[in-house]
Amino acid sequence: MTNGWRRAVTVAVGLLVLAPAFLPDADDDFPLSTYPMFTYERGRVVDLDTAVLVDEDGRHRLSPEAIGGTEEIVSAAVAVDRAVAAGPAVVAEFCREVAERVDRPGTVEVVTERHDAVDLLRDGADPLTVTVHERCEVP
Amino acid sequence: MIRSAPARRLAALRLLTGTFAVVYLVVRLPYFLDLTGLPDTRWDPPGVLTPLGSPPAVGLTQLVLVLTVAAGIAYLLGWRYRLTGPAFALLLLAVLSYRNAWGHLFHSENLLALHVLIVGFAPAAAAWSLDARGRPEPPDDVRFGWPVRLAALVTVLTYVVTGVAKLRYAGLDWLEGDTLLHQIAFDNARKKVLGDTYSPLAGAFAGHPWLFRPMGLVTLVIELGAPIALLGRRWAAWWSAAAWVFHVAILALMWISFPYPLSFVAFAPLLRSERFVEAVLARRPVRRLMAT
Repeated sequence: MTNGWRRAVTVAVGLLVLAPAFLPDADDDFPLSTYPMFTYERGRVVDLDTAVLVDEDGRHRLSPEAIGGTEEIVSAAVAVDRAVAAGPAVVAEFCREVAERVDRPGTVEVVTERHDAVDLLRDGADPLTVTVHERCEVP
Repeated sequence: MIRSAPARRLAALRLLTGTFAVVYLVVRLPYFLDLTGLPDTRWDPPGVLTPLGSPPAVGLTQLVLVLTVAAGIAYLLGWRYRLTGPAFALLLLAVLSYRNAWGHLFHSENLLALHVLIVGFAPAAAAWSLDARGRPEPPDDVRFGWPVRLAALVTVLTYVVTGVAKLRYAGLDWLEGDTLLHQIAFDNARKKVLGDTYSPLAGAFAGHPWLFRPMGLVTLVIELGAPIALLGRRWAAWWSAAAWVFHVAILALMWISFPYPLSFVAFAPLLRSERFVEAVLARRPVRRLMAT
């Protein structure tokens, strides 16, 4: 490879990596990315979708593995967010999927909890509201 | 960019990226296998997997995972590198794309994939490899120096893109500190309600919102200032250290790990990484192992 080719490849690679930052309609992709993480203003009060287990002892948090099928927290979040956004039929199906992954008796609830995120983090504050989308029994 | 370098420098990059990639694949193998059990409705492939309308068959995915680890070991050892280098680069790209194909892009493996693509297609087995056994080490050459500089350029530019994204999506409000505070609070709160571990420090920091304005400024300085690392070794060392500390802070406050930069391998193209490998190889247990 001549130095001329090396320079051309260098410019091309540099432009490819930079392009997502400057193209107006660039979508996030892999491995070339717009790197949009941590950029959006979330606000202090946030709606967080999740699934919990309710039994005679109260409400219990489920693990990301139970909620999303893998240990990955973001996958669990995306799975429950998409289910809630898609409507009652999909939420019901999602609830059943979660219930099948739970290994103790109780009722799974797919919920949206509204929190003051800073207060939750600082003082462990309870949710401002809880909206239950679906309930299903652990088989 | 077009500079000579010793064959060892490119080989060191092969050894470091190869070690990281193989260890990462093996440690995360259970997680990759869990992905094969996710419902097809979550399939949303990026990049090279975009043409696949549905997930590949479970058996095929498992076979590709095994082949990728095998190719990674060959890449690391520098064995039949003309074949295994490019093969590992492409297989790793496919596997990491698969990992990012389930509804969310993670952004923690992009640089690893790009570095291995560069090193895998470069003559990175001319030293410190099974292929190079019994041969004299070639003299310094542009064909060894250029891929390392290209990888360094890619490292720097990915951080620039990250900084530009903050200004592009949040504008100068990002410098006010509230965006960062709310982002950290949201991320930890989400982990808490989804039953995951979260940062033990974030609550304490959230009680002092004034801290987030300088933190936001420092973040942008590190990201947009990344090109300074191309000016020379000392700039590269200082910037790499600052970027590493930045990732440690992300881990401490958000419980989010970017393993590749945290391992420091992500910054290896900016430094004389052959010196680190030479120091490791000079250790007596390693010398004994290589003599057998």
